[in-house]
Amino acid sequence: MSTKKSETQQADVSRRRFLKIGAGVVVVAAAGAAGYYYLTQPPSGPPTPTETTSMTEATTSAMLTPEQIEWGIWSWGVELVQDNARIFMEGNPDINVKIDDYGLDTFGSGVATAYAGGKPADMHYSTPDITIVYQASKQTYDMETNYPEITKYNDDIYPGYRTGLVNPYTGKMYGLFYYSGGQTFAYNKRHYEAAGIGDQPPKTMDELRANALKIKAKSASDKTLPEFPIGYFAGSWGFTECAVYTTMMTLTDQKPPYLFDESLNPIFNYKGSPLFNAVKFLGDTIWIDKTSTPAVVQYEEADTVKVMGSGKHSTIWFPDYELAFINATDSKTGKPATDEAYNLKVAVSPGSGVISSIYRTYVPSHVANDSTPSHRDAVWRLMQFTGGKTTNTKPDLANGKYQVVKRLAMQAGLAFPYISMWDDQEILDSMKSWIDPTARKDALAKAYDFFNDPKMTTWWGDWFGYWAAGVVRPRFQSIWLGEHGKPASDDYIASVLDDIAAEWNKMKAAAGA
Amino acid sequence: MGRGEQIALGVAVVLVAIWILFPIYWMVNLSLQLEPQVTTVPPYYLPPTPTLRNFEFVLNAAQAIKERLTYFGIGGEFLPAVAEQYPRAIVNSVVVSLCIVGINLLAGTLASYTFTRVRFWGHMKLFYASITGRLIPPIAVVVPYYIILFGLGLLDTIPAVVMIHAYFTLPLTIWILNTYLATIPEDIEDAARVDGYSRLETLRKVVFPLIRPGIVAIGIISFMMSWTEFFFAFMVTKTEAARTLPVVIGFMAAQPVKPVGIIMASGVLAMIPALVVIAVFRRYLIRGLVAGAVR
Amino acid sequence: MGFYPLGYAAYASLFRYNLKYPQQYKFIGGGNYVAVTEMYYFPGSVTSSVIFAVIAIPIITFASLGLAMLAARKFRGAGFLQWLILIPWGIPYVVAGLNFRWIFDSNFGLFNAVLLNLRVIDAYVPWLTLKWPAMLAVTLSFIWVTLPLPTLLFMAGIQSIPQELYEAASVDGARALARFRAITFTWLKPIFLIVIILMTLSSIQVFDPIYVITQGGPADFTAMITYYTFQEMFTFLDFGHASALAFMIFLVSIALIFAYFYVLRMGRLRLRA
Repeated sequence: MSTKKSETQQADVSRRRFLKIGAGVVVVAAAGAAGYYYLTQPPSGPPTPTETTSMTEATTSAMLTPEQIEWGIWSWGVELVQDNARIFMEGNPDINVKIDDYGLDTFGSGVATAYAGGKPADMHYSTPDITIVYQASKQTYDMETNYPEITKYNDDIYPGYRTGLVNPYTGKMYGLFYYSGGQTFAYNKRHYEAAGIGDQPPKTMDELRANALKIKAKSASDKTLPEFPIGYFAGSWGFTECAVYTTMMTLTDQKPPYLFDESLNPIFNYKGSPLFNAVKFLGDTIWIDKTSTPAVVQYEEADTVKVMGSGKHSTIWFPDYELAFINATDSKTGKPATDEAYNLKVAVSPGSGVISSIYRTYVPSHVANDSTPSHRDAVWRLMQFTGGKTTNTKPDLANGKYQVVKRLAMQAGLAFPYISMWDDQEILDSMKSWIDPTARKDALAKAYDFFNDPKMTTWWGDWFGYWAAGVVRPRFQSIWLGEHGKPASDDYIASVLDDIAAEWNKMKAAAGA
Repeated sequence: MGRGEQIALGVAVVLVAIWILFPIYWMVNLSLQLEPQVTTVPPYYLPPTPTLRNFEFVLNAAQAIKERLTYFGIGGEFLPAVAEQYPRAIVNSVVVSLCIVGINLLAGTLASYTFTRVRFWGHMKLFYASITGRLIPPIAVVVPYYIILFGLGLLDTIPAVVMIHAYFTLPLTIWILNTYLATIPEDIEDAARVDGYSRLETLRKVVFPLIRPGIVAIGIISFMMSWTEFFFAFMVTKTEAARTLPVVIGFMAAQPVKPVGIIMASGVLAMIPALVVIAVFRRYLIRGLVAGAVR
Repeated sequence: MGFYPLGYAAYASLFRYNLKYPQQYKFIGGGNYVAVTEMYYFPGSVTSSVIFAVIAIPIITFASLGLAMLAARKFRGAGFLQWLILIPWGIPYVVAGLNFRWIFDSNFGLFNAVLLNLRVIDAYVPWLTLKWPAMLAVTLSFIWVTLPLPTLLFMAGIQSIPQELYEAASVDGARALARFRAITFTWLKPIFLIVIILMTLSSIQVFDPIYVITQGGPADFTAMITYYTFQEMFTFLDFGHASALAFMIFLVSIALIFAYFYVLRMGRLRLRA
């Protein structure tokens, strides 16, 4: 026993030393880390302006510290945004732009927290369901109040989009578009021709369905044709667009509004309503015709690009800019980027002949208006750069160009609401390779704003599940996944519509409480 | 042991090894592939052209993004800007974890010692109270924490994250050390006191060596818990100023386009400290949790 | 330090506190609790949580016990085995989750490729769009990461069993199973209790794997109660509801702990060895 003890004592001593050293390392590392932390804290106080510029016009005396503006964004194309901000700051040295990235699926909560804390960004991206919330609680600022010239932009915007820029509570224009486009109908011309249908898009839903069956039949012998021709951007269950509206509008000749009447009562919960038909259509194509698969329920934006690019489906409704990724050539190898490159064409939806529009806007928060007029001017100048017409980053309504909007269009393929941009040959040239400008313009001109069907409400986003969760999406997905019958019976679909209508009324009451 | 038993043992060990190593192998495999290779069907079981490019991106995304800006979008390889936050996130994770280890070692030991040795009124109640902290679901705490931090203007700062991590590592630390301390009979200390040591000296010279494994164990446990923690850090941080590595990885998962190779590369990086720590301190870990060993 | 936020949560749960309608802030007592139980997601969410717990807890508890017994044996490489077992503990849930998510991917996942190769399926299956596969994917990644901790606790417990007991028992002629029951199990009972409690709490509080793998799952099937609390707080921005849910989860946790104590007849937890 005694030898063991001394052995353990020996071991104890060396272990003690080891641990002492280890503890020492930890302490030193912690101290070093703490030091590093303090050293890397961003300096407080405003940055000094660059010396290369001379004093510009809009200055009173002692304009040494630039106007600090915060621009709230979500995480898409962040590097592009930062580059745009840099360009703006170079041209406007009296303004310093700080970018707040609220994240993507945390965008709603990030913005909400910022507003709740009284410190939202001066100007931020927004989707209509988020904009309405802060307009309802009077926390936004309408640009028209102090800059009535903003209404002149309306002349250059398609009528279908104009409502997107109006604050329904005040009737004034609040801001400009970040971008606007549509969920166009896209079809694979090669598939259509190979199946003997011709190269024209279907004009009615029956045609669409019949075409799909033809392609499916032909795919047995022609392995390059898909077994499940109908694709659908159902949007998975995380953050993403949800394209139920698109199908719905396609199927019906009914004039809008499709879901609610002027008093915001549900008008969709009966058999044969446009919504009913849309839900049933997808369920039937999956389980009866077998021209589509339940996998579509999971598609996110990137997935739609992959599946259409690989030829897995022949038709789909999705944002038109996705074509830029599909009908593309790999710049490094010179080869087509996808298998079906250049085979995809856009058109208006069969049936109603309209598409659903998507748009994002710049919303000024109350912070823009809370301090000095020069601060507000600065925000307006930034907004005109990012969403309006400028010359060399200075506002120029008469003769300027839509600098940033044009850049987004040319570099990322985003669509735009400004009519005059369709006359810009550069823009047309940039899109010619992957989309037919005439077809695209035609579809966009016929866009229906489903955010105002008939009008946006503060609870629509929660109810529909526009960003996440929601009442409607899981139930529809459950139907399409065949969890309540393959396909679900008409009675079941009708009961689901009744349920979601009841939830709508509940939420409506809670909001008005 | 008999042959049959040996074989069974061998089979069991192999199965366990597969269960543990397979996901890791897969992660490493993907992290060494380029994006187009990751999305081939069927997948490559070994990277055809192993490359460290993903790791480079993780550690220096800003440069990569700047280069890419020239041919952004159409046809270009997508890299979310969030990837720029990786380097800072790694640093933040290290800082936070080390702070937590420090806090647990100091505060945890002292608190535990106080609870077991110093008989002040209500000490048992306080002890139970500190343990219950572990039982409160994080979700119940995160809402108020968020609001409180917001009010103090501490949202999205490292001290906030440290505070929260301390909140849920300390109870476990105190619990473990308590159990360990309880096995040390007080006579040893009394003997030391009689010999003239002050309380603090007793603590240092007599008690510490005896509970050393316990201290090492809680150091490691608190490091692990803080390093891998996602939920709280996700809730209270907004920008790269305070985001930790798991949060940035989680954010990549929420991007519209997921660069799988890069995510796996960052996962591998997140895994390495843990592997090293466990390998070095394994024995202490187990010894430290053994309470009531060899009296 | 933990009680103040909890108290605040209980307090906040008594108010109508929705960031979207700040003007509606007022005291409504139990209103939030009633509203939450009537929410459309509530039954489904609770069911999902229960299903998850019922699957995960027994598997983890017994697998960890088995692993610990395996790793406690003295053979060459036992140390290596112990290191192996502990590895997943150092991997954040989100990393493991994303790994499994990619393995089960509908288009490029390894799982599909292997099954196709073995001709178990004849076309790729979108696993994560199906209820049970999605639930199992989340559960699998949860188990993979969580298993090391109870194993560690059991390993420590096993090491603390004095060898003499075993020797005495074999001298008395007891067979392996009897030895296990009489010695190992009895000795490990307190740890067993701790493990079950910790695992139950973890299962109720699970969030990370859901967030990265299924975001609530096919038609909300994997949207457990903590995930919906998160949605209430960050998507619906209803802090009143979120606080009510959080407090309810807390009460359920406490109730379960007492239930465990009673069933396992442990009396007061013996915290001093």
